Amino acid sequence: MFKTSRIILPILFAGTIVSCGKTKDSDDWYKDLLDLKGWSFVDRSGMPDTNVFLIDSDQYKDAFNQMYDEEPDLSTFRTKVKEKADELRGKVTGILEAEDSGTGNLTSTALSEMLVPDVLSIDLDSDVKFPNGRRFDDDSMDKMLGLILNRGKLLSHGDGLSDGVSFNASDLTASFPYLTKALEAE
Amino acid sequence: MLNAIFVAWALLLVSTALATDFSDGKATLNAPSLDITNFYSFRSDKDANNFVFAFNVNAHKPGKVAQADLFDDTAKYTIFIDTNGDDTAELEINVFFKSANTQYAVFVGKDVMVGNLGEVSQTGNMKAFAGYRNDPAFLDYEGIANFFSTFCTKDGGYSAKGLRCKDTGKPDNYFGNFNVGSVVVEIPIKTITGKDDPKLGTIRTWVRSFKRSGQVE
Repeated sequence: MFKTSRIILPILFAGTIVSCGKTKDSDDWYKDLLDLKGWSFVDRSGMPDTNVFLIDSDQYKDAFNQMYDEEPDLSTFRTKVKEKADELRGKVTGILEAEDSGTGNLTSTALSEMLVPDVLSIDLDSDVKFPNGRRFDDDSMDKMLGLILNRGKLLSHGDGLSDGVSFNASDLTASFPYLTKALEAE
Repeated sequence: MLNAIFVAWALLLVSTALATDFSDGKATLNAPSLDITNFYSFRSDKDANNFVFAFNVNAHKPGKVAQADLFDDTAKYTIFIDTNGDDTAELEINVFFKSANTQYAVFVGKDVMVGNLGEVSQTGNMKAFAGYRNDPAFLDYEGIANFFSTFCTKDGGYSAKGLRCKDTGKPDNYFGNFNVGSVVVEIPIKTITGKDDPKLGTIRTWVRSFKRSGQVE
C-alpha cells in the first residue's frame, strides 16, 4: 500500500534533480528514480471526464484527483457524484429522450459506485472496449454521456448519447505506438 | 456550480494549452504537463497476448509547447494495475523523463525501457514510447459545453444534432487539431496477471501524476 501526501507543497526540486548521488543529466540518469520518496498527487484518470461533469468546484476537483481509494474519500465523492447526476438528469428531462428504465436503468447510486474510485475495470474474458477498458477508437464520450444522463441503454450494450462526432480511422496507425504523428505548426 | 464550470470552459477555448478533461481543477490547469487528458487500456490488436496502456498530457495547438515543457522532468507518472480487486496495485508502470525531456524511462515493475523522446524502445516482449502525438480524443467540445451551460434555453431549443442547441452550428471535433504528450506501453498480459491464459482475470487500472513535495513519509 503506497502512501503519499496529497498536499501540493512548493516544489523544492525544480530543474535538474539529484537522486542518490546521480543527476538527471548523466547517462544513467534513471537508475535510482524508483527509490525516490516524497511524491505528492497532482492528477488522476481512470474513467474519462468524471471530474468534469460530476464534481463541483475547484476545491473538490483537486481533491477528487488526489483522493485515496478508501474511506472517507469514497463516501464523500460517491455522494457528490450521485447528487450531481440527479441534478443533471433532472435538467435534461423534457429536452432529451426519456431516461432508460427497467433492467436498463442505471441509478445514480449505481453510477456513483461505478465511478468512485476512478478506475478503469477490464474483464479479460469479455470484449475489451469502453467501458470494459478503453480503446483509442472507442466513442467514450457518447457512452459517458449515456451513463451520466441514464440514456442510450448502456447496460444492454447500447451506444449511449451521441454528441454527433465519430471516430476518424485515419487518426490511428497499425503499428506501435498506434497514434499518428503530431500535427505540424501552421 | 455547473454553469460556472462551463463558463470556464468557454473562456478556455481561447487558450493554447487545453486538456480534454478541461475544468479538472486548479492544480492541473496550472501544470499542463501533469494534466492527464485521457487514459486508455486495451488488448493489442497485433498480439492478443499483450495489453496496451496509454495516457496523454498537455493538450495544445501544434507548435505551442516546446519539447522541454511537454512532460515534467521533475515528476513521476504512474500507471497502477490492480489484479485482485482491492484497489491496491500489484503492478506499477512508472515513467520518468530526463532533463529537458530528451529521454524517457519506463519501468514495468523493476524492468526498465529507456528511449529518446519520440522513439520506440523495447525490452523482450515489452515496448514503450513517449513523445508528441496528435490528440486521439474526439468529441464536440463546444456543443457539449454550450448544452450543459444553457440546456438550450437560450438558443431556441434542442436541435437533436448531437448535443447542439439550435443556431449553434454543427457538431465538430474540436480536439482533432490538437497535439499531446503521449506515453504508450505494451506488455504481455502474463506480466500483469501471472496467468498463461490471456483471457483470464480482471484488471482495475488508473494513472496518476506526481510532483516531488520534499516531504518523506
